[in-house]
Amino acid sequence: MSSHTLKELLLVVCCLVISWALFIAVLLITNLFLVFAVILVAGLVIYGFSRWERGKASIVQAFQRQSRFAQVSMIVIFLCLPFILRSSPYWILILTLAILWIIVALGINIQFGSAGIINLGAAAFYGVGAYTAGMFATRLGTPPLLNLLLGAVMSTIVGSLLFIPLLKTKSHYLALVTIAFVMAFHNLLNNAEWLGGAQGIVGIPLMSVAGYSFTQEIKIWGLKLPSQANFYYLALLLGGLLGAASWRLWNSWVGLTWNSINEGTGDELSAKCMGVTAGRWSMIAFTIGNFYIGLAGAFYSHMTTFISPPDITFYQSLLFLSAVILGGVDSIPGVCLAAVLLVILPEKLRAFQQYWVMFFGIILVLMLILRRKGLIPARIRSYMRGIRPTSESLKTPGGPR
Amino acid sequence: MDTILNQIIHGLMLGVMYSLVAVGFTLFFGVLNLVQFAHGEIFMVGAFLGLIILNLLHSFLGIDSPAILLLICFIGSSALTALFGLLFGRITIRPIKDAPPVIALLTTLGAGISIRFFVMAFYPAGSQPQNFPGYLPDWQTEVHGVLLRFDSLFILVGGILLILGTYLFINKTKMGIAMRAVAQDRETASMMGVNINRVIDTTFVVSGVLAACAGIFNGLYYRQIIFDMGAIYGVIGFSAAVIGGLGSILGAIVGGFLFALLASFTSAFIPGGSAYRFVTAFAFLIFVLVIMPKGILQASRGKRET
Amino acid sequence: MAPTDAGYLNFMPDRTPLFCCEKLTKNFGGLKAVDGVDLQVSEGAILGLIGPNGAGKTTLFNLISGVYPLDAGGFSLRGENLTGLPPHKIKKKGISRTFQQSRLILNLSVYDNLFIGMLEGFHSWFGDSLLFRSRFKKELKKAIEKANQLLSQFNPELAGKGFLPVSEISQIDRRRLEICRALATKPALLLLDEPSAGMSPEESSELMVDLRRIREDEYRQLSIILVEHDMAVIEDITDRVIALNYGKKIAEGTFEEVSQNEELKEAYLGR
Repeated sequence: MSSHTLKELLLVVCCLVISWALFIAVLLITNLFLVFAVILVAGLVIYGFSRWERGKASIVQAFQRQSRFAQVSMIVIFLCLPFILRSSPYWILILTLAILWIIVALGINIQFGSAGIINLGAAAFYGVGAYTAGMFATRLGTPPLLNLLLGAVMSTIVGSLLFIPLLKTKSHYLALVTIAFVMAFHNLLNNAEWLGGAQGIVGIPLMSVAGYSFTQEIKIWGLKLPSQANFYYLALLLGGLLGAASWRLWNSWVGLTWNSINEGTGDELSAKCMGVTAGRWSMIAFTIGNFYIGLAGAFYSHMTTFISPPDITFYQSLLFLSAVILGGVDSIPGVCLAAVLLVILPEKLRAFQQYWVMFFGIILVLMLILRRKGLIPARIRSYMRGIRPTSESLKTPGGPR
Repeated sequence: MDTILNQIIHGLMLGVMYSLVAVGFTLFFGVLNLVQFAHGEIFMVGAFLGLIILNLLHSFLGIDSPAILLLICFIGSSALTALFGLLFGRITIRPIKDAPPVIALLTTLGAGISIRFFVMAFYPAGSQPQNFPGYLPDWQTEVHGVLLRFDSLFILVGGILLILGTYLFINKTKMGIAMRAVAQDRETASMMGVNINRVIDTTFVVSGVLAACAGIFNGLYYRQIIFDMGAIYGVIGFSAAVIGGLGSILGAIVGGFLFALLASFTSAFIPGGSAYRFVTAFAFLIFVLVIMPKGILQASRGKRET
Repeated sequence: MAPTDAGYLNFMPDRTPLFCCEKLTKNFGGLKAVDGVDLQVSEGAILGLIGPNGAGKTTLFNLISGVYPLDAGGFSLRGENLTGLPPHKIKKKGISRTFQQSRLILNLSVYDNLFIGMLEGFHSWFGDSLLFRSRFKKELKKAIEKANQLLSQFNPELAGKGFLPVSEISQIDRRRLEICRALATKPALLLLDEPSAGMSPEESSELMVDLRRIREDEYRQLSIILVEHDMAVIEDITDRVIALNYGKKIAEGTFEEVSQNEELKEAYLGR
């Protein structure tokens, strides 16, 4: 192994260790001032690095050339997180929730990020998945894994039914209809006794896989992990699969087709003139997105053992959608990062709960006006490793915004 | 028969309030091709400003006459809300006026949420419903079995006057004509010397006045207001504008009244209907959009009279 | 006006024209944007379409590409009636077009924009993208080759810029890309809507040199209808010219013949 390669591996390891250490520190430190201090320092360091061209270039290059190693390292870190956090089962739960949000955000990223379909009713589809799983579990006693699938499928079906009348309408009509849908759905849930009414569905059995109940602690290598780790690992598996699927779809003709019919950034008319059946592909994007969202909802209900109307509001939908906007439209890494932030920050800032929504709205507006590209802007599609000359893949499109 | 007539009166009054908000939405869309999702919050701000003015006048200045109180309240709140709308437009809309409409939609959505929860956080006891003083006389009379209340008639007449005023403004004044020109073709209007920024400002001012009055009407009728009243009114107002045909003032009015009558009749005649009023409203919206995608008055950009 | 025989460089009297329009009409609320226009293009011919602004040229293109529905009349390609078909079906039948205002997707790469034109011919969709990536890779490599080939017909440099975002290439390269994209769809008839709009005279002539070259090399069979305001281009490259005014056809023939037309001169210059 050449010394150059060794240096690059070392650089990758250093960066990963430092950033994850900071992340875990932020999670575990309870003193808010300290937390802010850590975040401030981290922010300054990142900012400083982004200005230091040579340092930035060498880090990026190291990650690119040792990308396999970096990916494996990340996976190892993800797998180890419950071990590191084993004394804080609460944070393991929050991280699991973050993974669920990532799944939802990936779904919305397909709908809105890639295909430009604005879905402000995401919470309703999440609710459909959750309620379906809850209903099947409590009324029919079906196994939880099957309920996940049922929830996802039901969400897909409801989405298709909703979308059919709207195939030919513009984005603001769809926005309105999806908002109205989530409000109406909330209204329905609150009043329909067969769906549990205002109490919702309670007593949903905890997730279990083939008899292995998730209430058990995991004993491995002499260490005991809290039962929350079970959820974490299952969510990680599902999230990983769906994330990989999202990435592959993006880097393919499917992702490109969706981009071509995107009302905002693409051009539906010229896509049609080049042979793309826009209506069909919009429907496909909407449907697949809802599958993701419904699956996450179903998992959620088996994790918390109950689901009720207050979980399903327009505000929730907006939060889900803003993960995509803040993270970077059509950017899978950006969307994942934003989803995690949107789950962790409110938890950390519980003291400011009253003001959190207001700040969130302001941040959203500021991002849209000042940095529309998002936290991690989408890159040029290079489809597969080895197709595109490495030096070029540093480029991201767009101007100063 | 009496119940139906009573429901109609109630529906008409509700329709006036919905229409006032819907006209705002349709103006934004028609003139600026913008979906102003924070318009419901402007409505709420108008109501709250009205409440503050009324309380100040009554408690601090000791003014007692309802007529004077209401006069100052309406004028004051309209002016302040218009100013608020103006600033809102300058801060959030001007920077993005050339971006794809989706951006404005999302920006106003975010801004709306901020405003809503700002009020919740900073208005004393903001998360609770606030009592709105009832300065309208309790006078009511029965005519052929139909109950006519003063406040319903006041709102009905007041709303109609406001809408008439808006119609005259749009069609008879120079600024109104400028707005219609921008609605038809922004680039050409700009090349002909129309100041687009002024038009943006005016749109916010006019819709702000309408929304503020609707907010005060709402407060006077229901005797209470709450920080998230704008959420529902926003969705209904927008839906009404869409159903009537985005861009047409008459369409917004028609849509507003249709929604109101639908809400009235559902609560009155379907057992438990009031609880499901969103579901029915939503079903109605989908129904209209499927049959008449451009709205009932078939309004569309560039080819209609505002 | 009956088409004259003289001046048809590629039109054989015994061959039926490739593309035929009859009495195309489109009204916009009382305004006749296109009024009973007849048109014929034979295989391999370039037809120029001229007329003052608002004469209906782009509307005509929109009718032929299926963007607007016809109010009256019809058109056919290779004898097959295409009236009433939606845009993506018309593309399948062999008509492609460019637009007056650039409709490239700026934040996608040059290759991506080209690939959109080639999507129809691809076979690796969900299965291959998700699971059998090696099959997708094969198709991707072929697509890149084809893209490079198309791009270098215009400008070999362009092929090297394949992964650049369109926002970073020059205006004239963008025009070339648009035409490439339309050519990638393998049309029988290509509609070019003011390709040299907004270009300087040097850029215009560069573009026209390119057009002529690729016509001669690769696309002898390709028929083109070209809308242009630059008369030098029209004179240079077209076989026949049709002139429109207020939606009606007012002149037809070679450039020399049409440029003598009195009504046309009035339309452009006024009385």
